[in-house]
Amino acid sequence: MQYKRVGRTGLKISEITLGTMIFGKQVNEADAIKIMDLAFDRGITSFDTADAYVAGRSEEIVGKALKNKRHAVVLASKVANRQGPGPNEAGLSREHMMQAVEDSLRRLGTDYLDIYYAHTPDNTTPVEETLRAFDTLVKQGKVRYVACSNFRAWQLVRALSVSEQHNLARFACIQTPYNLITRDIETELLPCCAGEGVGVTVYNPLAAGLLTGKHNVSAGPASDTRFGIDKVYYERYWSPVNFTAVEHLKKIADTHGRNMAQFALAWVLSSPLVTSTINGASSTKQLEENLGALELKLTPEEMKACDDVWLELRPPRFFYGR
Amino acid sequence: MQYKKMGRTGLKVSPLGVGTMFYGSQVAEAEAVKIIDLAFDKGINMFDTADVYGAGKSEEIVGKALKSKRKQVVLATKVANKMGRGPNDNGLSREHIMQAVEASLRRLETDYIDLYYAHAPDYGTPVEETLRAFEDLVQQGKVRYIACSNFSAGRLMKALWVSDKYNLARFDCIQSVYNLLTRDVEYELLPVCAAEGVGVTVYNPLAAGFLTGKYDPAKPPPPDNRFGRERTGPHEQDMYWSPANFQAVDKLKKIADGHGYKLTLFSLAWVINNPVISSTIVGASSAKQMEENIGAADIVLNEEDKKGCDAVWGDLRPPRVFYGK
Repeated sequence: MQYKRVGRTGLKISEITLGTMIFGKQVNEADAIKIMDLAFDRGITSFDTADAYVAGRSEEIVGKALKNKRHAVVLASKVANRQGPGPNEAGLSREHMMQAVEDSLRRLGTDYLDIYYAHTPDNTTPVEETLRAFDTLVKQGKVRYVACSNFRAWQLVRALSVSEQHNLARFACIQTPYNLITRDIETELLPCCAGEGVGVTVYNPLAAGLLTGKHNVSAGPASDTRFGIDKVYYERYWSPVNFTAVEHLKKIADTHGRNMAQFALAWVLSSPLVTSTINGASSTKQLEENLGALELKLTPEEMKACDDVWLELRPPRFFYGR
Repeated sequence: MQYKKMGRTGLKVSPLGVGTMFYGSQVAEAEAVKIIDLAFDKGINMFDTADVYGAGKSEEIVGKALKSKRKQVVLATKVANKMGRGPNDNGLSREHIMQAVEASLRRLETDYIDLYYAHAPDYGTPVEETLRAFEDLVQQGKVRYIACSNFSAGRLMKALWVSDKYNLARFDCIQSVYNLLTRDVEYELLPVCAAEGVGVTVYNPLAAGFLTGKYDPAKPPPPDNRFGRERTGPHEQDMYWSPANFQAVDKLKKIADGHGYKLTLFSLAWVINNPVISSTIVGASSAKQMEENIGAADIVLNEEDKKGCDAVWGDLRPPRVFYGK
């Protein structure tokens, strides 16, 4: 396991982060704790949750499981998604953030967060207000690093400019989707992160499981998988063109004797701009399997074949930026 | 003609601009002067050139043609492309910018440029150096507004940040490709321009002529044309000459035909109709063509037409998971 710096900061996290989005739902508490213990034993120091995951249950379970190793891990949570029906129970206003952080800390049974993400941009709050609130939390010791998720490149750079202008804590990293069939971040977002020294944590590295190659388009999604359980993922990745791409990728992986899921994870891990890849296992067995990706080094030939698959999904068009 | 504010600035520009890239090469001087006169008479005040167009010839012709109307027009030119063999004969260093602006002013026979563009990003020069040089030109009165072209959204935002930080002139406008077949600017670039009040001038609104609909996929492009010429052909074809684009043009033609519009005018109107766009640069090859194209400013597209265009773009760029919300 490699430990990488989060962008230009001094914070180091494991190149694999444990994702906990389904803890308390698809994964019960006992299994979740087993998964977390295994992750920690295998060198994973980075754990990712959010207030919105299973309406707070994920945070509660993560807090319990990390109790005796709190100081040894980098714990990340998020704010912005709706937490209640009120007008101030969502978003990135100081009002909501001050409330949300207390709720997260309570559920996690801790008095600080290592990384606190703005889960999604809030177009109804000036980014300056959000950054001032984050800065307050850093000064209060409740948060150590601030970050964002699902921001566009220009929104990220704009936020960095506001932090600098007003001498506020700045987004140390961004969490974003990235996988073999979802590579649009390469044109705008990744160059900005490289230029500004912003870390990148990746979600959906396996395209919610589509890149395991175990799904069958004609049979439809199995009811015990994310595609069967959550319509969001079905709509996001379940498409004929993606299945064709997965077929092609499978052939590349097979040719080289790779396990498909490990192959897909290794591809994300190989990017020097990616700080950590978030892996959400549903069992210790699955986590073990995924950790095997760390042993894989893709050859230039494999990388090129993957590029070709992407070019079929996104035929190059005349791009405006040089 | 309905003039528009260029971004958040006080400068007003015509929704159509005259592109002069081929003056002195494909467009002879006499015709170029006719085009400029006609455009001016019709109310167009935006004239767009660059030092690199025709290796300076375009600027010379534009300067001559605008002589008597200099004060009434917004004259734009650009710096960054290679103008000589030396290591400092291109790019956005202070060294090159200071030299290039004098050369442009001389060729344009004027003592100021209304809008001075960084023609392309220069990764070998800190953006701070570029903006400091531009700022000095503004203070010297040689340039009134500065702008950039072919920048990514992230790079534009970074430049605005640096200007703000050091109290320097900022890019008040960006020139970018945009047309019915090339809409990637909608994900990052147009939103940042709208949020930051940066004006947008559009080049290739007709996809280098591909959106005239006059080409036949079964035949090679005519040799006397942008797509067929030995020097420019391969590059222009690379950008637009593809089976997918030919299919798209067929579909767009049907939408335009539904209202009895020519595809050319319909395509221009589609760009002009976008409220974020300040001015659309049209490079006519004759006064007659210019006059025809000016008609596009009067066309108003309805919601159904726009949806039809969106569907065509959706086929060219099937929606995929996007990283930004």
